[in-house]
Amino acid sequence: MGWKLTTFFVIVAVSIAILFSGVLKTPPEPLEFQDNYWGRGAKPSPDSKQDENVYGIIVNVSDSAIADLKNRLSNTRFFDALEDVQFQYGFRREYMIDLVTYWKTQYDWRKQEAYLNTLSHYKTNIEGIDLHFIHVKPKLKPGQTAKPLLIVHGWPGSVFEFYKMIPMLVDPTSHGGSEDDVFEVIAPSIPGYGFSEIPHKKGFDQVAAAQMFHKLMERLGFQKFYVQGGDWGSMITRNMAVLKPSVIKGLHTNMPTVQMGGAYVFYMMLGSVAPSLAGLTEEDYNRVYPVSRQLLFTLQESGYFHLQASKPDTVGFALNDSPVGLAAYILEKFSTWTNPANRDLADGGLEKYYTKDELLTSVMMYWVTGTIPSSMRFYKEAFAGKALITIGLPVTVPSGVAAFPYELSHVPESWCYWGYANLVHYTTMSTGGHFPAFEQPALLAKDIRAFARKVEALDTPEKVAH
Amino acid sequence: MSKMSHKTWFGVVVIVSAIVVGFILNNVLNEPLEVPQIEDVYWGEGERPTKEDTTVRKFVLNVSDDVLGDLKHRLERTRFPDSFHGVQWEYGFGLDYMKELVKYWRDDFDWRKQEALVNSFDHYKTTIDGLELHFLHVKPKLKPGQKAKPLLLAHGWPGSFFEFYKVIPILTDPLAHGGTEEDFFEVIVPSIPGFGFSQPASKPGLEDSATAVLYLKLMERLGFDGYYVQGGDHGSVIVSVMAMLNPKVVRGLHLNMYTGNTETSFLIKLLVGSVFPSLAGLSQADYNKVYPLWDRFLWILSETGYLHIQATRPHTIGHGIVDSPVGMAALLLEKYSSWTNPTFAHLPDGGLEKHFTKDELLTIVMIYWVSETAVSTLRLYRETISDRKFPIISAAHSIPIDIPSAIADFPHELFHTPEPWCHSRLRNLLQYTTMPRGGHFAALEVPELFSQDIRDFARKAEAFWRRQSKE
Repeated sequence: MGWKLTTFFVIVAVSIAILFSGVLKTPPEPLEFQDNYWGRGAKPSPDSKQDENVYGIIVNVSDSAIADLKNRLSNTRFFDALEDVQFQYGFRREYMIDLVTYWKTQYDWRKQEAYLNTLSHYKTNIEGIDLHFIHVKPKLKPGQTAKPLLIVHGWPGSVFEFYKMIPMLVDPTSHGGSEDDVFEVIAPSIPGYGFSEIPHKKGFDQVAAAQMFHKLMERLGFQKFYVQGGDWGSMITRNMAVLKPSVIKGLHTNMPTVQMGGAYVFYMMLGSVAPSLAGLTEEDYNRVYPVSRQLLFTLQESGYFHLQASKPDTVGFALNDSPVGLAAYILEKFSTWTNPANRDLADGGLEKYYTKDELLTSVMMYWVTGTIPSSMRFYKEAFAGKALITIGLPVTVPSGVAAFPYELSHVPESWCYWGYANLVHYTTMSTGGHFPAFEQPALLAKDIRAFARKVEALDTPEKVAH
Repeated sequence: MSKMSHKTWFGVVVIVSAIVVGFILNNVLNEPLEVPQIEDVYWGEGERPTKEDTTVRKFVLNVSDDVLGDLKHRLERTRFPDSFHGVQWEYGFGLDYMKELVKYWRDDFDWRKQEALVNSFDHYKTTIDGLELHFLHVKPKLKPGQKAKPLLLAHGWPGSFFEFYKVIPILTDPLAHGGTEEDFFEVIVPSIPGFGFSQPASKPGLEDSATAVLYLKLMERLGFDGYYVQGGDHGSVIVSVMAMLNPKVVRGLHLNMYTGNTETSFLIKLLVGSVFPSLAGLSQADYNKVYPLWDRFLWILSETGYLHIQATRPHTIGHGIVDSPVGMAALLLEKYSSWTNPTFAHLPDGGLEKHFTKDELLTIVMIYWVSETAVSTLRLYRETISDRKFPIISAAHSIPIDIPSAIADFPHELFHTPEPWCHSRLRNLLQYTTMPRGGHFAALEVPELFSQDIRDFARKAEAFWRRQSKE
């Protein structure tokens, strides 16, 4: 690309960095709970009785919906072939044909549905909409207590991403952990995703989600709990920590969101010539530089982001109407974000890391619920409100980071402190990408346990007396 | 310092640094001024055969009943997104209007009537470099002594040959449309490979400059050695490349979208003009159309999500677009709203029916739908930014053009390049018209204004050529 275009993109990238750095803005106001209502019609009066019950539900898709899906798959129109391309142009046509054949003839939704129902699902009405969540209580011995843990997915993920990891967290002794490592797991679906109701008003953003999840945990009776999140889940859980730190025991993330202000540019430049001065390890250096590689990757891979942050409804029509369209759009991320080298593979490397059943069930979470359009609106909402500004507010609760090599961007440990003032744990992982709960569940579970142990140790009597 | 807002400061800092960097780099690197070499590529499947078919064959559009039945079936089972209160078109194509459009499409739209309309002009196909190139060729009825100027009209995305259906009668039958004997045109409207009924490329790399080569070959095959070219959107780049590559055959270049150029001097003018408009040669009206840069930048950012994804991962959205007619309609028709007038986003129908009918809009979508090649149209963007092609496109934006040229500047076009800034590259700019109304799809929206401008330009160009031949 010519120097002019490169210069332009560098300027754009730096501008965006500065824009989000808040160098030119006043410091963000502290977050507060708002009086939100996302249901249809007018907000009910404060005196009216709201239904605060928690209802057990099971996943049960109708036969007609499954038949309709099969019908659509059988009538798929594929586009014309282009020679010699794998995933460099996006989801490869020939592999999609292969996947659709499996989806039509061998994928067994009822079996997957039964698998989904092996964990307990619930819904409860908060701020006018039904919030779906999974709640898994471990089997405890007398005297044993479990640490409550809220885990939050992102896009294009879902609670399904956590299915392999949850058993490891609630039954640690069967999965390489000790008795003390037992957790009670709550995994909600972000409103507008999966089995949660779609917000009926504009403005449901990452701060609104944080508030709603606080209300959920309060309703379930938890006074202090851990949070874990990646992708939007990382931002939502960090907002939870900023909104009400007193109830957050510890925050663990696999995708730290850090805003370093003008210092970011300075440290990036310093780090390129004197890495140790900028607080970088050798591994950090290799993951952060060359910056051009990161910029190019971001440019090549952020088309979806740009589109969803501006015109989500336009592409939403196709993705909600064509299962193949939905699959291509979502699974491309499971390919590229697990490992960028997957772009050069004929199957996008998908079956190296996941099974066809896992991939298709991930798609079904959006298909059977019709939530792809609403899930994409979440990006536009992020830019409309305060959601991005809150990155400037530091997290003060004990925090932990698991840094996977193929995450979309790498934040070195020393730079995490800019966003997580109380960082007590940082693991440089040697393998794994953007969906670690799905791809490397044992690694992530182990790290969450290690982090929690460190946080529990902070509560020793000596510390309490201080 | 004055109470300049943070945004303004930010803009100034960014722009000044861009200029400083650009200036430094410009002094280090030279501007390319040579016409680049464009390789001859076989775009069809496999290898180039020893003998190629050069016949020109008539083509009549006749969509099978199966395709129509399948389409109706898909429309009937459309899964619409959930509704979203208080939003018209700010989040993209409006849901309520789409439901209305789909109902009409499913129950009332008469494709056979539209098909007959499409066939009311003569269509042809011919094979060039392995691809079946589709084009219209409309010859005016001439009396002895009357002459017609050949004119190629080049569409873009999400356009098609159909965009020109209202201007073709005006151009080919001037006497019935307020023109004179001098205003006869013989009109050729090709479809970019992958668009309309032109075959898509089987090999990667086919973008605007490659299309220009194909169009030049087409005109040569049809026996034209001197003709006018007109283009908007990608079409404007295509015809500019045609003029750049072979100025001997292009008699005149008419553009309704001029993206300026990428010379450093242009960028400097853009900056200087933001603070001292008169120094950069700008009128007040010009100034209001170009600045404030920050607002324009934000608007462009909000409109170019499609461009970003199509330029990087077209196949990822492609699967859904060819499988869902509603999906295809939303992607294509959204632009007919925001690019006709950006304020239309606040209207329940996106303002679509202010200037277009449902039949016109759906015919445009049908052309993309029945040909099954919509994804190749998305690839156009991906091919443009690839390393191999970008230098050529860049050259096309900076190499001066000395043949007669004209710009029709419509108020709601995506880019406004003030006239004083056009002359550095369009060195023989005979006409620059500031239009009173119209947007990006000007030929379809304001066909009379569009056609009249072409007529006026052609007369000026012909006068120029007469003077040239006397010297």
